[in-house]
Formats: sequence, C-alpha cells, structure tokens
Amino acid sequence: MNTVITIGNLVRKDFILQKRTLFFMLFFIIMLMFSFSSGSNTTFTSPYITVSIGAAIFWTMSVCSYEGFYKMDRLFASLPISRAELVYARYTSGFLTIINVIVLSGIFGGLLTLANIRPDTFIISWEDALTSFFVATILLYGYLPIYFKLGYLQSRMVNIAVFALLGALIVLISLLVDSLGVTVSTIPIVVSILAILAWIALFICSITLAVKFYEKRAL
Amino acid sequence: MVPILELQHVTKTFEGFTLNDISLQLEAGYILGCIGPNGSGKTTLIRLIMNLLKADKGSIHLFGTSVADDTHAERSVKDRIGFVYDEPCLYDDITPKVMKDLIRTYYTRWDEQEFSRYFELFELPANKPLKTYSQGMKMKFVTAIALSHHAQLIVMDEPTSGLDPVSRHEILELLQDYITREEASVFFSTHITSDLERIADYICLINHGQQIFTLQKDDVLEQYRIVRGSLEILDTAGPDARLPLVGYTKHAYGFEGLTDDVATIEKNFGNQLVIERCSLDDIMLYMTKRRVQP
Repeated sequence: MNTVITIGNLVRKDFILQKRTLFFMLFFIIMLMFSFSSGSNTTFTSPYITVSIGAAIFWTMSVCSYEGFYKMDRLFASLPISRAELVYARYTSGFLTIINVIVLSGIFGGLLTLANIRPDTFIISWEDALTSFFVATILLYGYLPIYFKLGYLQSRMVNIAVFALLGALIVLISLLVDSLGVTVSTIPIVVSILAILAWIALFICSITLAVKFYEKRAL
Repeated sequence: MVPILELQHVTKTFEGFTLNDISLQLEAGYILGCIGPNGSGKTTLIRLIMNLLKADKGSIHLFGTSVADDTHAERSVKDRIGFVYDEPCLYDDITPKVMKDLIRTYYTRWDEQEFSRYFELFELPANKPLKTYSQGMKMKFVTAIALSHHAQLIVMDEPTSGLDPVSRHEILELLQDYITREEASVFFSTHITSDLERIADYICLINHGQQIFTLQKDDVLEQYRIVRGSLEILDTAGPDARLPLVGYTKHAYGFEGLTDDVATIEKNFGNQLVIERCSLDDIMLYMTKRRVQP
C-alpha cells in the first residue's frame, strides 16, 4: 500500500481516537481561554499561545496514552505497516492537532470577544497563530522521540522534565523578546529565516531520532 | 519448496532469561504447535517471528525472506500473516465495526464477506463497544480478523486460553477448515496441549528458553510412553539404563514415569510394569521438570 495512504489512514485513526475526548478538550480550551485571557495582544505572551500549546500537547499525549494503555503498538507493528510510517503518521497527526487547536481557540476567543463576556479578550492574530504553531511543534519535537524510545508509560517522567525544560526556555525567550518590544512582525527577516531553518533542522533531527528509536524498540 | 517459516539458531537474551538456539521450519499446509509451561519462551518466540523483537543471533525467514532489516519486505510479508495474541490489542471504547475498519485498510486482500461470515458464526454483537465483550468474545473477534485477509501464515499465541470448551472446539475446527481452503500454515502456541493433539502436525516443546524437540506429533506420541509400577522396581532397578525414564514421580502405591525407550523397558521388565500411551500433557509435565526427575 502507498505510504501516503497508510499515513492518511493512521492519522484518521488518531482523529477517531481524539473524538473520544473532543468535548473535554472543548471545555478545556474554553476554561484556558478564561484563565489566560488577560495577556497582551501584541506580544509572545498572548493567551492564544498558552492555550493552543497546552491543549495541543495534552490532546496528542492523550492519544499516546490511550494507545499505550491498550498496547496498540504491538497491534500496529504486526500489521503491514512499517515502523517509520507509524512515526511519520504520529508527527502528521501532531501537526494537524496543533492546527485544529489553534483554530478552535481562535474561534472560542473570537466568540468571547464578540459576546463581550470578558472585556480583556481579543481576536486571534496571525502572529499568535504562527507563534503557537512554532512553539507547540518544538515541544512535539522534544516529546515524540522520547515517546517512541520508551513507550508512553516509561516516557511520562522523562517528558515532564523535557516539557519543564523546554517550557522554561520558551518563557525565558518570550520574556526577553517582550522586554525588547519585539513582535513577530517586527523581527528582522534574517532572524525569521534563521528561525525557520532552525525549526526545520529540529524537525529533521527529531523525526530521524524517533524512527531510529522506534525501529529498535522491543514491542 | 520454500518453507513458510524457518528459524535457524535463533537466540534472544534478556536480563535473567535466554531463548536459546531455536531452529525449526514449517511447510505450507501444516500446523505447528509450540508447547511449554508459562515463562518458557513461547511468547518471546512469537514476538521474534513477528519482528516485534530483534534476535541477538540466528535468522528468521518468512516466505523465504528475512524481514529483520528490510522494511519493504516486512510489509509485504505481514500482509500474508494473520495473528492472534494472548492479550487482544483492541481499543475498548469503539465498536467492532470501527475497530475492523481501522485494521482492514492495511491489508491488500481483505475479504469483507469472509469477515462477516466469521462475525456471524461467532455470534458477536455488532453494535456494542468492545469493552462490553468478554475475553472469549475478543479472542473470537481478533480470530475473525486474522482469518479474513487470506493470510498464508496464521500466528497464534495462546488463542484458546480464554475460551470455553465449545468455543475452543469451534475455533480449532475453523482453523483446520481454513488451512485446507487456503493452503495456509499455522504456528500455534498454547499450554492447553489437548488442542494440539486434535489439530497439530508438528510439536515444538520449549522449556526455560531451550528447545527440547520439534517433531511430528504422531512420532512424539509414538515415541513416548507412560510407565507405572511398584516402588520396589524403581528402588532396585533405579531410573538407569535398565529402566530408562525421562522423568518420574513417586506416590504411595508406586511410581509413574515417562520413557522414550519402551523397547528396553519391555525387554527388562516384561509384564511387571504397566505401559500406556501418553498425552502431550504427560510429555510436557515430565520433560519440563515440573515433577521429580531422575
């Protein structure tokens, strides 16, 4: 079977599993929007960024935990699917989940703003969406290789440390950038290109490591 | 003719356990039963065959192909394998239809009619989530999936352990019917040896990770005999060259043992001992040190 079709079917499977927690996630996003809606609309500390990252990582991890609990690794590795395809599919569904969550939080934020439920909410900007996507994907790049190396149950503790480290790093960078009064639209083009190149390099490193780890893992 | 499954000197070491130097082969149209007590290495062997684990030494060929480091070959080989594991790996919250749809897309020769036939035959409820299924129903469901894509090799790890006798009989009959129709082979691990007495062509006995033998079932049952006699005979002759016993156990009225040299015993003791045909259970019991051995 064509690799693209296989990955498509695996992503579809992840979305079917995510449907189980859809209502919880919607509630989670709304709650986060209420909790974090006092941020700035011009900086890296926008509530949309916090909400999108939190919800996207939580949703991806919920699918991983569900699969780990039912030992589905063993099932899928026994089907005519290569382990590399399983890894590619998980990255793809991770990206799509991040996009879905950004869209959902944008919709809820917009509704909150239009309904004027909280006066300090605002419509999501393309800067918020872009920053959310970049930061959430970087967290995903840290999470997935460890997940594929250790499996969900064993990777939980390591991932807490990784998230804490990456989270702290991202907050530090955000605060630094905020203190300099820089926004996404005012970042020099060279810096933007370098950031994109670094993001691509991180992606390649992460997915290569994940495939290597998973191909060697005993299931 | 290329064997469907061939293992040569396969070794896998974990901390505290080694599956050591396993060699066997399985031709098309036969059923090989792998027996041994719990923890003997049957599941490890199946995980190695399914490439869920990598062997430290030796080679595994499926349909003449080694899949250890060839992902392309692995995909095409796994398209020809049906599998049933001791714990059915299923998402509990979804219905069997959704679960089946998640799996069937990966098989190039999926047969929906065949699946429906098995599903109805097993009388499985279609609209209830899998969490409402009993262990036996889950086993039947995964068996239906394993038999619905014209697989040429069926790998089963303790498939009948959670089933009642009627369901076990049903599944064993289906397996026999399947290999006749599809010219398929079955690798079947179990500790319910009576299942294998009914359907297996070959028996592989494993204990503590060591392959004790892999022989035709009829040869195994012909080679070994249960011997019973008084304690005096055992005490005077002892389990030696005159009374060659693979293993024995003493009780208040005498002894019972397993021999693989019935001719010598008949020659030396004539009608002083009772000699009977044995079951695979007897052979497994005496050869896996679960009872007192000489």
